[in-house]
Amino acid sequence: MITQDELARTAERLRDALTAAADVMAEPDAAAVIAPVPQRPGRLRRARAWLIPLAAAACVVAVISASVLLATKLARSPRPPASRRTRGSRSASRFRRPDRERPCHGST
Amino acid sequence: MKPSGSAAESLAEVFRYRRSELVRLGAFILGDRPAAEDVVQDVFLRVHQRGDRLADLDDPLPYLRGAVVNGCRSVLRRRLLIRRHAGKDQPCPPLSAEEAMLLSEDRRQVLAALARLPARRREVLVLRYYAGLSEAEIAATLGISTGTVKSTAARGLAALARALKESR
Repeated sequence: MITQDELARTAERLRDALTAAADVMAEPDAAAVIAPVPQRPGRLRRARAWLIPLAAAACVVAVISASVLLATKLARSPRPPASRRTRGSRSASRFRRPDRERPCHGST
Repeated sequence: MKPSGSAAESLAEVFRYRRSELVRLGAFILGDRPAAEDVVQDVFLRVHQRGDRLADLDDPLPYLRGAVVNGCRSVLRRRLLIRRHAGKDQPCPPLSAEEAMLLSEDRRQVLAALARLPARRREVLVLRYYAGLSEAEIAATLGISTGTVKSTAARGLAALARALKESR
């Protein structure tokens, strides 16, 4: 049989145990749960998402076009003038025999 | 219906300051802390989704407490079903091993005896001796009469005293 005194003591022990358990129970981290709501990105930020890759692609296209244009222009440019000797002609002239002096069958 | 900005702010405020208390209440009723955290989370989520204005209530705690107790009951019912069909259910104790070590042996015995009580008695005792509610408040929270609260509390306390006597 449980006496009133025992019941009162049990109630006191229960209150004490629950309070102590609540005190040692680690504080649930509410801050981790309440994450700041992500802001909707602004127009500029949203545009940046596709603007940067587009700009990069445009740069690549511009560089390729410029190089192609330059190559075409160089290919169409007029040949160097004939007077300008090429390397081959220079070497050929180096080995050309010197002109013999023509005998003068002159009037003298 | 989504709550307006101020309603969402007030809900966040209530969540920030009352969550721990509600989690502890749920943990003592369920004897399982992660499950209690889930219950509290669900309660706040439902309040948010329904767009309930907690700010309109003078004190939102009784409302939230009642919702948490109801959530705990659902968990206990589910657990009973699992135990019946799968034959196993191992709830996580409300205190970790490190936390339990900080308590004296006597307090641990009391908590273990409380965890072995039937759910209804445990609810009443936790609301009475942890949350410090009056019999009328417990009756309102659990949706039962004051007389039932009195008798349940008396029986629960007697069962607890017997269990502690036997464990000595």
